Amino acid sequence: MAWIGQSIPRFEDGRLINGHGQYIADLTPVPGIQHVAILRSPHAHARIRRIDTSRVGTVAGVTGVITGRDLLAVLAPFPVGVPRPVTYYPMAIDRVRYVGEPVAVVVANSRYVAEDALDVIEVDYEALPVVSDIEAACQRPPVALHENVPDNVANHREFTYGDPKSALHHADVLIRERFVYPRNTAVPIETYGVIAHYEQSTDDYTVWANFHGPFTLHSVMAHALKVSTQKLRIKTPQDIGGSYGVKSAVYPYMVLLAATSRLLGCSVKWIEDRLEHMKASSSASARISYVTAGFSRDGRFQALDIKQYDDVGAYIRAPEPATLYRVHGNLTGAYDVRHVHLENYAVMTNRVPTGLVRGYGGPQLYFPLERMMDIAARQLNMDPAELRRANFIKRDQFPYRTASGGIYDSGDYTAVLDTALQASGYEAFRETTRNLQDSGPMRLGIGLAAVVEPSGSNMGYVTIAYTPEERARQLPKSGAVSAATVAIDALGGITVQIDSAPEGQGHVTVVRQIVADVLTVPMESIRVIAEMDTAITPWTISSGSYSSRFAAAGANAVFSAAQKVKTKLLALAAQQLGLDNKTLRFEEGRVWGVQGATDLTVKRLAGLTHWNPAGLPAGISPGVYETSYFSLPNVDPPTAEDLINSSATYGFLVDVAKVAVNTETGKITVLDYVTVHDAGRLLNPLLADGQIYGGLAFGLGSALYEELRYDEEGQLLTGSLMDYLVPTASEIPESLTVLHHHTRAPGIPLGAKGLGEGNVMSAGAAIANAVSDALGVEICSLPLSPRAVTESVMKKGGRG
Amino acid sequence: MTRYDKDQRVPVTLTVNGREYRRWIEPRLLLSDFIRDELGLTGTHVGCEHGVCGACTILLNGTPVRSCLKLAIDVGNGHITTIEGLVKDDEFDALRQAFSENHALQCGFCTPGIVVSVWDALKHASDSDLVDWEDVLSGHLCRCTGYVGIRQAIKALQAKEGGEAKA
Amino acid sequence: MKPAPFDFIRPESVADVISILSHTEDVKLLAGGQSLIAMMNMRLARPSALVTLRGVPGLDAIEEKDGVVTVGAMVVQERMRFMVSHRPEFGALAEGIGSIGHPQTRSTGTVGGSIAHADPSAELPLLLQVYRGSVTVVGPSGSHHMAAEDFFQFPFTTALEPEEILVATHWPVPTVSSGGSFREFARRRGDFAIVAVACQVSIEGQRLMDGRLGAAGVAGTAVAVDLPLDLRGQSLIADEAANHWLETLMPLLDPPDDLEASSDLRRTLVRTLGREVIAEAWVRAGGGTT
Ligand code: FES
Ligand code: FES
Repeated sequence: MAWIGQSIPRFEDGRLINGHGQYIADLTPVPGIQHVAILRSPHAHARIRRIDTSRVGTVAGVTGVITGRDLLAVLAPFPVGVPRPVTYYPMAIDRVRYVGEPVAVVVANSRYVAEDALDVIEVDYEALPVVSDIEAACQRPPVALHENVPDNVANHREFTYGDPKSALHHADVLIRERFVYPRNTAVPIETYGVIAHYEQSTDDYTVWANFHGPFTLHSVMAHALKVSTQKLRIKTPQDIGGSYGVKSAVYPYMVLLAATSRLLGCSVKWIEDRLEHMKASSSASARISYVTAGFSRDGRFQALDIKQYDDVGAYIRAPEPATLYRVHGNLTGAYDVRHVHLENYAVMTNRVPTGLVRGYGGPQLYFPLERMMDIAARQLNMDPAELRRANFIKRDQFPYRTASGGIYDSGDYTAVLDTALQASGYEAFRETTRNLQDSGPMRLGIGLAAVVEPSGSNMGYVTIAYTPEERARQLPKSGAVSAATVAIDALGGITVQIDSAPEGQGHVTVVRQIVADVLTVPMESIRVIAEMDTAITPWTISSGSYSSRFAAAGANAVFSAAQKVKTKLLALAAQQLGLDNKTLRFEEGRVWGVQGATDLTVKRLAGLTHWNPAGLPAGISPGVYETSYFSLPNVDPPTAEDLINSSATYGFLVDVAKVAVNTETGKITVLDYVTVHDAGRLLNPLLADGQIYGGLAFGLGSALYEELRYDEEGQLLTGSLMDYLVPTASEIPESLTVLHHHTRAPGIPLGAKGLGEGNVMSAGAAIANAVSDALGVEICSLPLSPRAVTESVMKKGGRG
Repeated sequence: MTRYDKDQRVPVTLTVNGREYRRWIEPRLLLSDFIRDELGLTGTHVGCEHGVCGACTILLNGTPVRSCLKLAIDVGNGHITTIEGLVKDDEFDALRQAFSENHALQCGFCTPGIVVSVWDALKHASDSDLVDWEDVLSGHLCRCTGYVGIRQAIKALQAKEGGEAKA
Repeated sequence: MKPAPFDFIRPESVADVISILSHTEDVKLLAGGQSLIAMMNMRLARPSALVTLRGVPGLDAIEEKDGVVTVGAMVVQERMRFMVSHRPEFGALAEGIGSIGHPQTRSTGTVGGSIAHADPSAELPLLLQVYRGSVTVVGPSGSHHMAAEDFFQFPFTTALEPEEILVATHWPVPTVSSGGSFREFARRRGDFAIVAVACQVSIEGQRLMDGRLGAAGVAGTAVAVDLPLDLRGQSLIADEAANHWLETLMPLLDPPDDLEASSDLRRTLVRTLGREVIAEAWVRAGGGTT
C-alpha cells in the first residue's frame, strides 16, 4: 500500500481535539518556576534618565527585578545581519526605540503579582523625536535611531542584471507606480512562551520555547549569552499553537529569560500576553516600492526597475533584512525578463523590529509586481490574462535561470493559468461585466495574480545583503539541509526523530506515511518525535519550519534515513538467507526474494541487531539508528555577480478573484475565489489543501482587514484583537476552489515542492486587481478597508 | 452581604466535568486560570484574555462562555464543562471523527474552544431553533485552517444528524 | 493581562448594593463582565472593589404587563433574544440583539450591563430608544423611571448617579400592525458596529401611523427621531418619504472620524442602511410594495 500521496487524516488530531496537546504554557519542566512580567516602554523614542525599582520589593510575592543595565554583566549584543553597526539587546539599556520595548523584568510567584510589581516601577523618560515615515527616515532623518547610522539605513544595496537602462530607454510603454504594502502580522492564537533555567555549577542554560527553528538562531543566542554553543540547550514543546513565521522572533526573549534566570538564580517562565504580542513581538515589514516596467507595444515585458524601502523597525534584528532578499532569485516572478535594476533600503523607524511572517518577502514583492501587470495590461489594451501568458516562462525553458540567479526547477505556467481561467469562468465573467450598465452603487470586478512560490530557502541568500567584496572577506554561506533519524528498537518499534518543530502542518502524519511506505510496515508501528532538543536532534542550522521547507527538505531527510534502514536490514537479510541482497525486497513488513515471502520481518531483522550483535556479519553495526542529512540541490552561495538561487525549488499558482464593490459604503464582497497550485507531487492532498486554505485566509486578511497602524508618535492604534482584524469564518468566502497541477520537482527525491505561503503572496494582488477592475481606479496600497475604498472612489470622482 | 478583602483567600466550590472541586482563591483569579492552574485542566487555552479569540470557551451551566472574562469567585457553585469533560461523552467520537476527517484543525490551539461551541450548537440543533453557524463560528478565531475544514466538519456532522445546514 | 487586586463584595439585595455604592470609593458593579473584565485584564479599569450582581434577587426576571415587557438588569442577552425571537412584533429587537458580539458572549453578557455601559455604537441603547423604552433606576431615595432618551447622555455616560443602580429596562410591545428592522455595518461579524440603524413603524390601512428611526455609532449616544408629522397618514412606498424621514435624523449626527470610517462614510451608511430598514419595517408591518 502506498501511503504517500493519500489524503490521510492526521495522527495528531485525536490528542489535540481531546485537549491533550502540550503547549509551552502547559509545561512545568523544572521545579520552582517563577513567573515573569515585563515592563515596556510607553514611548516610541526616549532616553531613559532613571529607573527606580526600589518599591518592587514591597510587593508580596516578588522574587526580583532586573533592568537593562543588569544585563550588561551577562550579555553581549546580538550579532546583526548587516555590516552597519547597530547594537541590539533584548531589553533597552539607556534608550527606548519602540513602544513596547522591554525596560524591566519582574519575577514573582505568579503572573498576577509580577504585573502588580510593574506598577510600582518608576521610569523617568526624556522623549526624543519619533521616526515614523519610512522615506523621511532615510532622506530627511529627524533623528538617528542609532548613533553610528546617521541616515537610519541599516542596509542599502543596488543590483543590475542585464542592461536595464537601455532596455527601459527603448521600451514603447513605461509603467511607473508607487506601491505601499502595510505592516501586518501573523497573530498565532498561541502567543510566545519561554521557560529558562540556568545551572550555575556548570554555567549552562536550558531554554524551552515555542520556537520552530531553534538551530537557525542558536549561534546568535549563544553569542549573546557569551557561552560556547554546547552550553545553550533549547527544547521545543510537543505542540506549538501556530506561528506562521512570527515565533522565530521569540529568540530575544529566550535570551532575556535566560539572563534573568542567571541573574536572579531561579527558573523563570514567561507567557506573553496578547497586548504584548501585538505591540512588541514582531511584524512583517512595511514596504514602499517604486516600480518602473518597460513593455513593447505588443506586450513584451522587457525591463524592470524597483526601488524599495523596507521599514524594519527600531533594530535590524536577524534574520532581517532578509525580507528584502528571500525572493531575490524570483524577483521577476513568472515572467521572462532579462533586464533588471533593483535598489534596496532597509530603513529603521521607531516601530517594533520586523521578521518572518508567512509569505516572508513575498507579498511585498508580488503586490506591486502583479498590480503592475494589470496596470500595464490596461495601458496596452490587452487582457491581463493574455499579457501574463505572453510573458510567462515557457514549459520548455525549465530549468530556467532568472536574471537575478534563481533556478526555477520545473513548471507549466500556461497550463495552470488555463485551468484557473476555466475554473473561474473568467471569459464569461468579463463579458458580463463589460455589458453591465452602471446602475446603483454596486460594481463587479475580476482580478488575477500569478505567483512563483519559492520554498526551501538557501541559507546563503541572507548574505546578499553584503556586497560581493564584503562577502569575499567572510566564509561562504549556502545550503538548505534537513536531518532525520529512523530507529528501530529490539522489538520492532519504530521511532522517527525529525527536525521541523511543526506548528500544525501535520508533519507527524506525513512522516508516518513515508516510513511506512519505505519499510512496508503499518503506520501504527511508527512513532514520530517532532519536538526538538538542540542537544539531541541532529545539528542542522537550517532546520525548522519556515520557508515551506518540509515537503522539499524535511520529508526527504526522513525518506533518506528510512532508505538507509532498509538497505541495512536487507543486507542483513541477504546474509541470513545466503542470497544476493539485490534480489530482496520488503513487502508487508517482510523480506521477499524471487521465491516469495521469507520468514524474516523488519521486526526480526531489527531484533537481530539488538539481541545478538555478536552474530552480525562484518560491515553491519549493532542496532538500528540511522540519521540522514538531506541537502537540497542547487543552493550555492551568491556569486561575485550577485546571482543567487535563493530557494531550492519553485512552485507556481494562479489566483482569480471576483468581487462586488459597493462604491457608497466601500464594502468589498469576495464572490468567488479560485486558486490553482502546482507544488509538484502532493504528499498528502488533504493536508496540502489545509495549508492552502490557511494561507489564503491569511492573504485575504492582509488584503482586506489587517494592518498594524501607528500614529505619528509611534503609538500602535490596532493593538488588541478588537482593532487588529483577523478574519473570522464569516469573512472567508464560501465559494473557494483549490485545484492542483503536479509538475514534479526534478531534483528532489519525493518530487514535492513546498506550499502554504503562495496565497499570502498572491491574494493581496488578486483582490486589488479585482477591485481596480471594478472601480476603474488603480489601487496601490492595502488593506482595502471601506474607508480606503470610498476614498479611492472619491479621488476618481474628483479627477473627473 | 459578604465582603472579601483583596488579599484574602476565598473558598470556592465548582463542579467541573462532573467532579466537585473546592479551592481557596484570590478574588481576582480568572476562571481560565482557575481551570488551568488550580485544576490542571490545560485543554482550555488562553489566546487573548480580552474575549475575542474564543480559545478559552467552556460551558458554564450548559452554555458556552469565555472563561477569560469570568472571575472564578463569581461563578461559585456553577457547573462547568471543559473539553476534557466533553471527551468522556460517547457521542463525542462522531465530532472527533468529523473534525479529523475534514482537517478542521492544524495547530489545535483554537480547537478545544471551537469544539465546545460546536458541541453546544449541535445539541441545540435538535431543538426547534435552526443554528446560525456563522454566528457560532464568528465567536472564534482560527489562524490555521481558514475555517474551511471546520465548516466541512460541521456539514458532515449535520448530515449525520439529519439536521439542516446553514454553514 | 491579569486584573489588579480588588475587594469582592457579594450583596444580598438591591438595598445592599445601594448602600455599598453610597459608602465605598471607586467601586464597580459586575454584571456579565463582558466589557468590564476585559478592561480589568488590560488594567485599564482597576476598581478597588467589585460588587457582583449575580444572585441579587429581583434582577433576572422577564415580565409582561400592560403592554410592556420588563427585563431585569441581569437577564442575559441571549435569553432576551430567545424570548423576542418568537414574537414578530419585536423583529428588530431580535435582529439587533443577535448582532451583539457572539453567542459565547451573549450567553453571559447582560441587558442591563450593556445599557448601563452606554457604548455609543452598541446595539441595545439604540434599540431601547427606537422602541421608546425606559429604565428603572433605584437609589438611596427610592426608585424612579426614566425614558431612554434622558438616560443616555454622553459616550459611556448615563444619567445614573454614583450611588444608583439600573434594575430593569422596559420595552413597550409594538401594536399588531407594526414592523421593525435592524441593520448594522461592521468590519467583521460580531464586531462593534461602525454604524447601526433601526426602524419601527406601525401602519393602518397602508398608511403610516407612527414610527421611530434611530442610529448608533454616529454620535456621542445613539440617536432616534419619531416619524415626522407630515408623513403620518402617508404610504411609505415612495423613496422620497423615506428620504424625508432620514433627513430629520441627519442633524442629530456628529459622526466620529477614525481608522475604520470617515465621518462622511458614516453619514452615507446611515442613509444607505436607513433606506433599507425603513423599507423593510414598512413591509414587515404589512405595507404593500406596489
Ligand atoms: S482567551 Fe478568552 S477569548 Fe481569547
Ligand atoms: S488550528 Fe491553529 S489556530 Fe485553529
